[in-house]
Amino acid sequence: MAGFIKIAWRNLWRNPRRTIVITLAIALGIWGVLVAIAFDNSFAYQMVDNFIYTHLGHIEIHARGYQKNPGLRLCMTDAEEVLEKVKTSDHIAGYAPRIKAFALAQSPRASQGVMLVGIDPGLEPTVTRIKTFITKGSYFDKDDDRAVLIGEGLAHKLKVGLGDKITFFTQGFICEEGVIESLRVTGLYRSGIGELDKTLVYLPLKLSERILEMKGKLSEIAIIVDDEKNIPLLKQDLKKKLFEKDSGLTLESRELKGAEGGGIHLIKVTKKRAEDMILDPEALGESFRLNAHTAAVSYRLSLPVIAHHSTRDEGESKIELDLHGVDPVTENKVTRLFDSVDIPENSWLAGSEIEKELEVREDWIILDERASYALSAEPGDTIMLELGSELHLKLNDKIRLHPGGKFLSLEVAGILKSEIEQGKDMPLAMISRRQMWETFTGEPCASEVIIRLKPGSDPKEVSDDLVAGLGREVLDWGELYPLLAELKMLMNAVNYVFLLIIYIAVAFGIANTMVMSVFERVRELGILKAIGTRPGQLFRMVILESVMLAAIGMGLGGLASAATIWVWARNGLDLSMFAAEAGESLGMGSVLYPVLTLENILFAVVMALVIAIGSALYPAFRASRLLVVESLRRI
Amino acid sequence: MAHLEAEGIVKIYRDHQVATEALRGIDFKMKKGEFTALFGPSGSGKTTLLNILGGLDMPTSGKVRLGEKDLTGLRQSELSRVRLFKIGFVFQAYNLIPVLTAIENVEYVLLLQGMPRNEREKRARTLLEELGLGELINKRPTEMSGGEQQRVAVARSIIHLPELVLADEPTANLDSKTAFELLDLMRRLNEERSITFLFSTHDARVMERATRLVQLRDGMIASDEIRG
Repeated sequence: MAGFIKIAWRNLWRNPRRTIVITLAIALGIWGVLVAIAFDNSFAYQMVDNFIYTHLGHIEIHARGYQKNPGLRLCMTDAEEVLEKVKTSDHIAGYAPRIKAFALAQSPRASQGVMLVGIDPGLEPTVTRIKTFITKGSYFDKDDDRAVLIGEGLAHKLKVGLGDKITFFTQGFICEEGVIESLRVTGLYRSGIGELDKTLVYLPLKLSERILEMKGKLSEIAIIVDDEKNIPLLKQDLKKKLFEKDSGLTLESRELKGAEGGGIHLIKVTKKRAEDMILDPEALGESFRLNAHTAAVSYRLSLPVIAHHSTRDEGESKIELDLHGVDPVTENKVTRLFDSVDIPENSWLAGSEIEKELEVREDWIILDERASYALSAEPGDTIMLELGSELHLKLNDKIRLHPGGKFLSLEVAGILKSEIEQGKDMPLAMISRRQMWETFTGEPCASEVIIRLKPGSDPKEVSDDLVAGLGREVLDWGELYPLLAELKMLMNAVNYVFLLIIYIAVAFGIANTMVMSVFERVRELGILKAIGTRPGQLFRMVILESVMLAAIGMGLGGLASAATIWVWARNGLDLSMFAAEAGESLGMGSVLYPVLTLENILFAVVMALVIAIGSALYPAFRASRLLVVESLRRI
Repeated sequence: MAHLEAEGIVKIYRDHQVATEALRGIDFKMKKGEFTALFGPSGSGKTTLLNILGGLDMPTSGKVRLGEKDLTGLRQSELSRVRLFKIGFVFQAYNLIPVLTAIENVEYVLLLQGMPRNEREKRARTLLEELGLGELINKRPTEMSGGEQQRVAVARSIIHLPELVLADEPTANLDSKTAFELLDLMRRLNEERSITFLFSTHDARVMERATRLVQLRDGMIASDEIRG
């Protein structure tokens, strides 16, 4: 082979001028391809990089469905447990727990819709560059508990500056009436992504936990991986760790009784262990509410209580009640239960939509007919409630009920004419759920969640779907922001088109050179064949010449590209004079730096070789097929 | 038994509708160690016959046998192998590879045979020196005279110890002195190494040195004379 390489090499230099011209053309082609790819990549990679290190991270963990429906209530209620699993995973370079909520930011001069992002000031910089983005003021101090960082874009829009206060309107995890909070701007940041700078308002995690009622809960955990190659590995690992085989829930299908009757299906969700309560039912309810077949969701807390009613005539009546805490509006949307409440004409509720009135005023109780009879209580009477004496039980780890601890004094607002499905054979009453939480459990919990399905839905299928929708989702940046992944793919495609166009020109150059080279030495090739060179050896020799031609061109082109890219990488390409705002609004900043991957280089090299071989095929074939006698006749 | 044998060789060239009969039934035999000249006027079929005998061209009909091998029944790749191992060629002119030095030109056949580099280099160097071409070893064809090129070509044709060397008008472009030197060299190799030589010529000086003279005329053997 070495002998043929020598001959091929010397053949190249028979006509040095031609060889130099074609190798320079190949070098120029390679230089053009690599620099063009580096330029293209700088757009895509810089945009991806900025999004990842400004907010996304490589991987995010949410409650399942959050990515599609980001809301405060669709959160991870077992934050500590999830964080512990994240911390103990391999390939983690940084992680940042966050609480996120939509809010309206109001300054004395303007208002703007924003996203509040509660961050751990210590952990967030392990994922994002927020600390380095600060342009005025400072990042959070340890003592900051009423501070926010806002983007320069938002500051401009709200016409506020450092030290000014902004009022935020939002909804808490429980409080639907709204949360209003005024916080002081202690820092302005500029991330290079204009849209995020106008939208994201950072506040300390603890502050967001408090004002958004999210203690122990998280909207997301953003993660940076030690090496991008490990993203799929870590994602898989986290999915495995965070996957729950058993939801711990029982779902039963029911048909709605009462006025509407028939055709409307309900699904009742309870804990598998009857004594367990559903903690944070809002998060679970939110997940169910987002299902396409769900019409409405309500949740009830059911506890046995002792009810007292004193009358002058009959003295005190005392019975045990199955007390249901409900939210009147959502309960009525699901079961229409309040349509069956009998209200006297002289009642304050008469003539109104009672569920809406009862949502505003909370000191009411609705008894069923058995309870009303046993307590001799009519609308307008006052009932005293206390926890049932047999409740000396620990309902779960978090909630402990103490019988006899607190009392509730409530006015009978009406008598329930319809039956409510219950497991216990005892009189029944309904009160405001919030009253029950505040008086007896101290925090939100529920015994059951009731889901009203849209007409025509199959309860069995929906049940499976609802369970499948629980748990967590682990998404990488491409899934979080598909546009970025698509952009990267598009840029790759553009790169290959560039490559193709330039290489077609190169291919013609090489083919022309090789055809000329073969046809001007036909007699010589004939002699080589006459003295014993096999056709295959001649074929390979011509191909070898072409590959050498391409290799010299590639070497020169590679050196020129390396020099260009080295200078460019040191200084960057500042486009701010032309399109600074466009760059920032697209999320790639105004100074571009070249990006060339090993894959790009290998592809360019392999393609050049393929082109070199491909374009020499015809002349090589002709050389191998030459007839010796005819070749020898040539002068 | 004949070393080289041609039997009923006919060669017809067709150009569109015109057929030209270059050889008209040649029967020809050669023993090992002969030093034969093939002569005749231009167009008598000398080169055509040499090409067919060397397996460079195929006859329209007839057979060529080299030793036991029927060359007319072989495929191109097999013919290449026969030429590589059994036949040496010397052409009229311009027959060295211009990008190779004298020694590399001579080595080339051994390279094709797959001989290790050191061995083939040693063998080529020794041969060139034996033939008095030591000074040309590192010269390229463009740096040599016509006679020097032809002597290197002869060296190349015998480096692999072929059974037969075919030379097509080897002295055509040479002056008298150089032509004689070349003929002396070929004759010496024929005598010392028992290499069979068959060369075409219409040069009387060349014919004088041959031990057998075969005359071709109009594609047929006109005379066949064995001398001293």
